[in-house]
Amino acid sequence: MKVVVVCQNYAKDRVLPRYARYLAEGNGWDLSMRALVGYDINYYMAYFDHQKNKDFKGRVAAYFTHREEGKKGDLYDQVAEKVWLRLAMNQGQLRHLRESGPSIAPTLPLERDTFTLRSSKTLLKDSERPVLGFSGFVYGSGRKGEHLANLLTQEFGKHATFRASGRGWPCITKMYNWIYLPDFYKSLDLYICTASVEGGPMTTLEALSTGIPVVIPEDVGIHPELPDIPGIYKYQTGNYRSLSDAVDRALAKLGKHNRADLRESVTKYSVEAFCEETRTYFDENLYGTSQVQAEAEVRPKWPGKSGIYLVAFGEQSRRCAEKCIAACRQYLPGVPIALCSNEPLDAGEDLYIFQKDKDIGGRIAKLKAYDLTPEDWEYVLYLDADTEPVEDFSFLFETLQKGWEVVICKDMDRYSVAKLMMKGDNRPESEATWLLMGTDETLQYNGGVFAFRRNDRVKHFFTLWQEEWQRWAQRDQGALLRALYTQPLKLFVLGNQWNASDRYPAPVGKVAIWHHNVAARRWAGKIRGRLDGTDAWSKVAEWEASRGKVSPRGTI
Amino acid sequence: MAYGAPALREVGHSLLRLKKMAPDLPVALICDEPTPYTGIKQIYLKDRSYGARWAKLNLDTLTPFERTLYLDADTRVMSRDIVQGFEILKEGWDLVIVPSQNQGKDLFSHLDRTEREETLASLWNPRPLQLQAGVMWFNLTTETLGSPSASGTPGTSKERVHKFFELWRAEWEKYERHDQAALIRALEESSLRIWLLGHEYNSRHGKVIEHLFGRAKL
Repeated sequence: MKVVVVCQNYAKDRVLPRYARYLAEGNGWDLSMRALVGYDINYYMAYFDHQKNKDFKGRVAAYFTHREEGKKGDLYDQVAEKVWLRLAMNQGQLRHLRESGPSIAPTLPLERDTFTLRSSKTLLKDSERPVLGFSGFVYGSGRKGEHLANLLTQEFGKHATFRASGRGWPCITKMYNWIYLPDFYKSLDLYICTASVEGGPMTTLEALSTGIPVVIPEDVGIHPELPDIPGIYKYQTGNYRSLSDAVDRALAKLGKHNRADLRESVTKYSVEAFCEETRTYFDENLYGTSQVQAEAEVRPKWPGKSGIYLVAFGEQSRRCAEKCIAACRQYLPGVPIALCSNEPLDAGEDLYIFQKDKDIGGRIAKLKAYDLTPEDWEYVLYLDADTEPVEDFSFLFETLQKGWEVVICKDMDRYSVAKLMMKGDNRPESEATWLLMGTDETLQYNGGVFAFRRNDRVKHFFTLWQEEWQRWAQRDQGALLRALYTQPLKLFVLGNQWNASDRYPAPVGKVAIWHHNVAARRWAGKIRGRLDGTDAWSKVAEWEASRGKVSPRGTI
Repeated sequence: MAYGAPALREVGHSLLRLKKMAPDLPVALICDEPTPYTGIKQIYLKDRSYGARWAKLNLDTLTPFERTLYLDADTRVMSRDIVQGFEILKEGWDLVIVPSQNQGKDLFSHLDRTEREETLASLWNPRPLQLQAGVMWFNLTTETLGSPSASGTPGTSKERVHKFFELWRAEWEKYERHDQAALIRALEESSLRIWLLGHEYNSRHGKVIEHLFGRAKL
């Protein structure tokens, strides 16, 4: 996921530029003063940056700090409608923002290591005047409640000292560099917020993080989300009488507040949580579900969890299987081999799986590869008995281990697409296959070599393949296509080098597995009907009776 | 996509065929200046990369559609069968694409030597099947079709396709030229549900989509 955080003044030490840098550093995202193409998401750190990037057409998320009345409020609403995702400073904003679409309020990024607990040495002594403080930048709109601050200084000024950080407060006010701001809070005995509209404010969190008691308006910004504990005094927003009472109550308890509890009340706010929640939110909306969750699928290493499955019925096929097993042993020693047949072969197979000889091509046993092989074989390679590996083929298992569900080869060029599946004996099946897929111009796969890994989808695919094959019970390629089409899989398609027929021109490139097509066949000519039918078995009997006179290879 | 006069001209021809064969399909055009074509959504994006590849590699974020057929400017839709690509996506496939006609000894033959050699050395599949990315359908839906159960289902088409494009962009940025080798390198890591169609859907004389390779080049 490529994200650029767009922030006009991202190098400065104001709240939003700091947020932008947290995200850039914490999530590895880029920073820019304007919107950029080439990113999955442009994240405007201030929603009003939308105005400065009006012509940008890419996917945009925006951070909504707070909503004011008037033109700013109109802009806030308009941008909320236009952007793809909305992020807010507090939960209260979401009721409104969610009318425009998906919105969240990630945990605010409090630098807890910067705003550390105030030392007990700086605590108020009985003989001293308490120090009360305001913080922030006062604007012309009055939303910072400077008139309330003015009234407080008049009422409490005789017995208390007022200090402020920022700009525009009715007392000695100093602009603190960010690194010295913790010192300001630590110089206070009580922090007072007089605002009527805020997103956070961060000042409340910063004061609490240093263990300072706070007097705050009850329904502004994140204040409703803070616990009601001693040291957090909430008052009715904008009501001076309520504010004055709260300050009185706080002053009466000065020196008795548990500083550690106050710091504990804002434990959940952290830069890490802010970055992670933002990243997860983008992931979920960009990819549908959490990318992290999707990538959490753990697959075991293939050695020790793999096996090779062969099927051999009839003398020809069993002879081929002997050769195939020897080649597997030579090029991939250590991988167990299971042979499915109606009697053991004793050709070095590790596992003999008995099945009745039900169809002349061994298709029923082949399509049961998922069910018949040991469950602890996470990765299974099926090889036709008449295939012959001629080099290390561990690559097939590695492909499964990387996440692909089925590995198979495209068919030889002569049968490259489905329209070429039609032979003299399979018109109904061919037409049914084309009809299902809506096209006959789709690649065909050769089922003589394939590998799969275990999961519900692959299991379902094999069930479908068996069912589809049973409809006509002839070749298995049409059934394979129909099953695949309706059960999408992570299918890794290989060239013919991994299943190279020696009946057709060899593929370009080094061959890894040869396929001696027809060498395992125990009949000659075409079978016009089911491979498990009486006619099919008659053909087998016919061929066996004339053994040595008719070659399957020359009759198909 | 229409970047430069030849591509703009080719898009005009392509649109005519497309509208004739699939008049109901909505069309979006990615371009860097207003075009004379009407009845389509125009998406503006500055792209100074070779052959406007960057725009192509960002299709997943630029497309206004949940299921998209991407067509190179020099393609011509010759049959109504192009809708089949969408039908395949509806079954739950993530990407529908056509293998390149250049395989074997012609594999990546259009690349410069460095990218070709480094690609073949870096691929874990030593004999890759080259795909042609001038025609492709991709799925950005969040449906989980084709799954018998939710267990073990890693995400949605949208998730996988975005991830794939992300990888494709990263791979392309290594050389910043052609996209096909980058596509193969990205696919190896992405585990998409890919359905492969035959050459009639993307070749010089394709009966469904004709691809007049090279006509849109500057």
